[in-house]
Amino acid sequence: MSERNKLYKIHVVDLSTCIGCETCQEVCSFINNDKAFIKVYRVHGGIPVPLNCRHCEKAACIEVCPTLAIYRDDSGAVLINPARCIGCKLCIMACPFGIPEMDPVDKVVVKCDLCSLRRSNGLSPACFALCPSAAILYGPPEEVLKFAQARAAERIARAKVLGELELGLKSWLL
Amino acid sequence: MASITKRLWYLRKAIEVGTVTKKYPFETTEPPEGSRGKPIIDFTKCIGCGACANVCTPQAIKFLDLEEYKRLELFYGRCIFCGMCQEACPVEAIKLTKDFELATTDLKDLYVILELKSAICKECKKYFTTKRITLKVNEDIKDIIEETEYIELCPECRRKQSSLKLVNWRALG
Repeated sequence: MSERNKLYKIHVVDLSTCIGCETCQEVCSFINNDKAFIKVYRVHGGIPVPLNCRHCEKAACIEVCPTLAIYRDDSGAVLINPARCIGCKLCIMACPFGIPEMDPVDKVVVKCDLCSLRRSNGLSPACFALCPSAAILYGPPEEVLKFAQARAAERIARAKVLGELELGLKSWLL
Repeated sequence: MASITKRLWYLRKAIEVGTVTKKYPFETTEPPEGSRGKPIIDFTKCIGCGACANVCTPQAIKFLDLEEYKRLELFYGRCIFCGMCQEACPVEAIKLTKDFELATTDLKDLYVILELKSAICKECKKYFTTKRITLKVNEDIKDIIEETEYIELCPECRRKQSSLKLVNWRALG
């Protein structure tokens, strides 16, 4: 996307604040008929990584789709039109993250659409709305960046205060 | 009187036009434009995606996963010449012909079987798709993505590896 419009929004997972509660996975499977499009993976023996469609700017799935069933909407989300999908699974093979899945009943490919139905009703994606630790960020790129920077600055300040407290405690004890 | 003149008129007409019927099985006729007959598969083009098997209404085309091979079975006995497979095929490998005469004394003549080699995942050593699909995808995306080594991994391994990468990037940054 060369020129971004005002509706353009990004969906980011802040791994440093994710507590691995799997709320996003549960609410996603609740909305999409027991099929979670955001899944929490554990790496290095326990670090949680919620993985969903990245809605890539250079999307390989859009490039390979032979029927132009995969497209990008106004807000930058990559969506699949099930009426055009023929179930050839080329997008599954092209995705660097292995995100799209085959629906065994409808024989079409399904993936995260950032809750397009909720968004058309003026709501935000469900995983963003329900994340208890605000690890999932969704909004215009500038706002998300500002929020993440403010959070990082706050964390540094808190670490400094805590460190000084600890030092003071140690000097008082010894 | 009127009936006799009418009959004579028919007789004259029949002599003028001559014979119109053909001795069909011995004399072949060209089917009209737009008529549909049995579909044929171009073996060199087929990538084994299974889209034709998904849309096939009478299930004449079956797509079987035989670990080492992916097998495409086309049985003309069930085919209704609807042309859905031709519409669905992403590489235009399957096409309808005008050939509709399928009578045979051997049922095996009505089967077309195509076997395509499966690709192996580098990480978990499982078969996941045909080699031709990986080649086609690699060809399609090399303009927009530089590193295309991930194509040799199965989707599940890709997820695991990308989540591992995300954590490692976080640790570095």
